[in-house]
Amino acid sequence: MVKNYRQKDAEMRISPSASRENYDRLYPHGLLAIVLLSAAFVAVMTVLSIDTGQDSIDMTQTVIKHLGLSTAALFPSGHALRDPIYLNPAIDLRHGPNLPSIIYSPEEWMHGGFLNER
Amino acid sequence: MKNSAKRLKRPWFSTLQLWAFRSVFRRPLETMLMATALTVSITCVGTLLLFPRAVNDTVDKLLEAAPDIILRQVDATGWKPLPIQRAMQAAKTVVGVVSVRPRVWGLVLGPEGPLTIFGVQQGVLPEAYRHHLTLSPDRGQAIVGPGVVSRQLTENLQLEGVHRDDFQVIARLPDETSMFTHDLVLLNILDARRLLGLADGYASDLAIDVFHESEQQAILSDLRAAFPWPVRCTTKRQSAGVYAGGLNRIGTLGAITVIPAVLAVCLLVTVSIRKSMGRQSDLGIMKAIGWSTGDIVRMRLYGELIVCLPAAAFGMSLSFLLVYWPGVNWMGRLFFGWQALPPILYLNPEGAVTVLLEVAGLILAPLIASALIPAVKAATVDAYELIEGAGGS
Repeated sequence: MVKNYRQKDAEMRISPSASRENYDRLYPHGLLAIVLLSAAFVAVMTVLSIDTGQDSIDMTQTVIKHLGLSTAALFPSGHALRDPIYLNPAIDLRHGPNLPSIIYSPEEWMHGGFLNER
Repeated sequence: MKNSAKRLKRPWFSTLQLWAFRSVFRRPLETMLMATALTVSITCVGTLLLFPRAVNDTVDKLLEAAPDIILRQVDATGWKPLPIQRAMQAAKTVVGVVSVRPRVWGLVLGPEGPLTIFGVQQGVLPEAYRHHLTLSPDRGQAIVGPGVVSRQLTENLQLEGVHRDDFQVIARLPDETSMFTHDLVLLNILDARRLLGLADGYASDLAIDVFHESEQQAILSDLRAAFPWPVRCTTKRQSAGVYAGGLNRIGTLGAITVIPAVLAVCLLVTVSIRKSMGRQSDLGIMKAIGWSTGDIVRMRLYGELIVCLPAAAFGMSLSFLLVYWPGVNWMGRLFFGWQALPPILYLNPEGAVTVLLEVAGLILAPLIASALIPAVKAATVDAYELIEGAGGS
């Protein structure tokens, strides 16, 4: 069938150039392969990611629930965005070991403020 | 009869499509360059827009399991330990509070920087990690998050708080939980108290659960009033809002880096327009041999789609792969400020397809339009003028 179309196509040519003959061909199979591979790639990645994503979310939610965790570990420990309660406009509540301490107190022991003396 | 029917059966593709295929592959290098440029543009824009949204959605979903309210005692110097008995009694007097749990946690120095330690009661851990860990940390033992140490489990972990202690690492938390446990160290509650300098009967804060989500905000004033000292409460919604704000800033950074990609698309559109305008003589010849404007537009459309659709599919797949591949962590180093081992992300892919389709549409639409507009504009022009005009220029 493709051959017939190629033949018709060839008849429709007005003035084929000899130098372009190598490129002046049809590649339907190659194109079909590109499209099918693209679709298969998208489908496989989608299925793989959806499956794994749900498992990890369930597992993490179990851990959060039982340990009572309230902060995501996206930012390093002590980072201002690690814990929402650190963002206090009046008091620096970051408790980072590398932050300068104002008063040496038992409260700072708990959050590690004394460690900046190192 | 059957043979003739078979011969007359039309294939699923038309002659026009085959003609467009051939037209595209007459310039293979040009086609490849265009497809590559499109793939790269869609990958860059898609990844940078998808990542903050994916993290935000996943954190929102994970926070559903977190305690509703975290209550801490504060004074002028900052965070202050809570007396457990008095605090729990005060919290339980508030209507709407379902459960109150004291938590012992804080920051200490680990071998590679600050770490968050968390004291766990005996018996809590086996239930939490039923299928992953069977141990709970005894005195002198630690269970570490995926980002704490990359060494053998038998090695000791030195932590420095009020005291400096060595702990034997007995297990490692699963990589899948890294978004909440990446630099977390689980210790026996007595060890955690000793490291943080907390006296017996004191906790870092209280984790409070309420009966209904809408009560989180409503009972805050009652909670504050129930305590004889100043407290600070953070609801789950507030936490989600703070994370969303932080991620929005990352998203803005992403949007800024998208500007070069938009410029690249503008250049591609310009190239496409120039290419189409430069082939006006082709249109003239087609019209001269009897092609209708519809045929020409369709052929141009097929020609663009042959290049654009696979490029968009590859670009979208790459974006998806870069963001949602299980265990991806390269973005953490770029956006979250990690110097060493960034958290391993397992993101929730809900809604990703919509974003990627929007990105692909945004980039493809002007490109396809730029190829079609010259053909449509040539509809009312005489074929001879098109051929002559091309020859003249």
